[in-house]
Amino acid sequence: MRMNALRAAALVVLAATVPLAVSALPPGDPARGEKIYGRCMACHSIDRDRTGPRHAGLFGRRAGSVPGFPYSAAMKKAGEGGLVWNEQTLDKFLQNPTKFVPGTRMGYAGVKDDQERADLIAYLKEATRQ
Amino acid sequence: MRDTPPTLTLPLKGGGEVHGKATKSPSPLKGEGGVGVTLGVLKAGTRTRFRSIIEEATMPQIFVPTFQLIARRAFLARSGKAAFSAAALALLAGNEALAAEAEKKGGATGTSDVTILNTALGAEQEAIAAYQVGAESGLLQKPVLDLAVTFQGQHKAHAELLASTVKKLGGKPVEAKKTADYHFPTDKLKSQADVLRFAAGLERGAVSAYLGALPLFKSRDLAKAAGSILGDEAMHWAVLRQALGEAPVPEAFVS
Repeated sequence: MRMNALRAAALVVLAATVPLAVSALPPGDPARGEKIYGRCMACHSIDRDRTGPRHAGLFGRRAGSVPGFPYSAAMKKAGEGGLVWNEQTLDKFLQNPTKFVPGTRMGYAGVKDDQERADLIAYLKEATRQ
Repeated sequence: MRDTPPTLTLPLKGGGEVHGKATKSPSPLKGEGGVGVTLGVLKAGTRTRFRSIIEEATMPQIFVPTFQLIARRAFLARSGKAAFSAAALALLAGNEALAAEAEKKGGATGTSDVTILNTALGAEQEAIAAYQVGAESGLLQKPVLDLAVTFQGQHKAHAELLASTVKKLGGKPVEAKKTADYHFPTDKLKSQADVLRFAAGLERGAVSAYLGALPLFKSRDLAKAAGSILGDEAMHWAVLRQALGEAPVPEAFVS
């Protein structure tokens, strides 16, 4: 368990601090991404907290930092460790949430397809602007 | 003597007619006037008109026979709610020790089965509250209202199962919020179609959420139980799409 936490912290620091010169993802299409966002709608919404936190203002936000939302200890710790949501960190998290932030309450296997992830991130970038 | 499906001609609001082929319902409703309408034989362009009609918060007449059929079936099946819970609990009974053992082991993901179940429970509780808001909105007309109540009952059964399983695994089930604390977008719900679309979005999300959770369960029995819930919510989604005049099953795969 301790190893998991250390590994998570290392991954988080790596993802948050190492600038990636070239995104591994193909260009995303927000229109396609909006449809993919439908998969998130059991738990998430752009403008209100639900089982998961609201997505408004997501880009540039520290993980685990929406005021009043009851995050898992793991997500709070990741935020305190420096995890900030951007294209690169979202790419890694959405690919495999429980691997990127072990202990997250987001018990979801992830969006495995690169193009789908790129589309979803492109949509989130537009829809969550405040 | 072989039955020939009669053709139905139904007047459309605003003029014109729609032609559909009436179909005999399958055996469960035999003798109860179960008649559906095969939408696939409708003339091109008709679906667009259905949508415009449903936007006016009226049930298109073509859907009424189909919906009465579905609603009646739903009511007939409502007594199965307890049976479902019992069956699902039976599925877990006897395997609790194995599930608890898997829970203790944790795993590479660090996200326990209890955590996944509690996340699902939170979403089910929100769905129950959402259907309550829809039912009390005054926007739903029979038989759609009956369906909403039936679907809500099934979400309650899911929630009961999830909560009891969390307890059995040594966890503490999350508690439902007060309805006001869900902050439902009630200002955007102006018609029956709005309510149906909102509910369809929740059901569609639930299908994806359960699908995404399945590979993460350390207990296969829990994955099976979650798969059972997934199937139920996929049916809700399909029926709601049908009510909105959309293809009930748009693709071969869900994601």
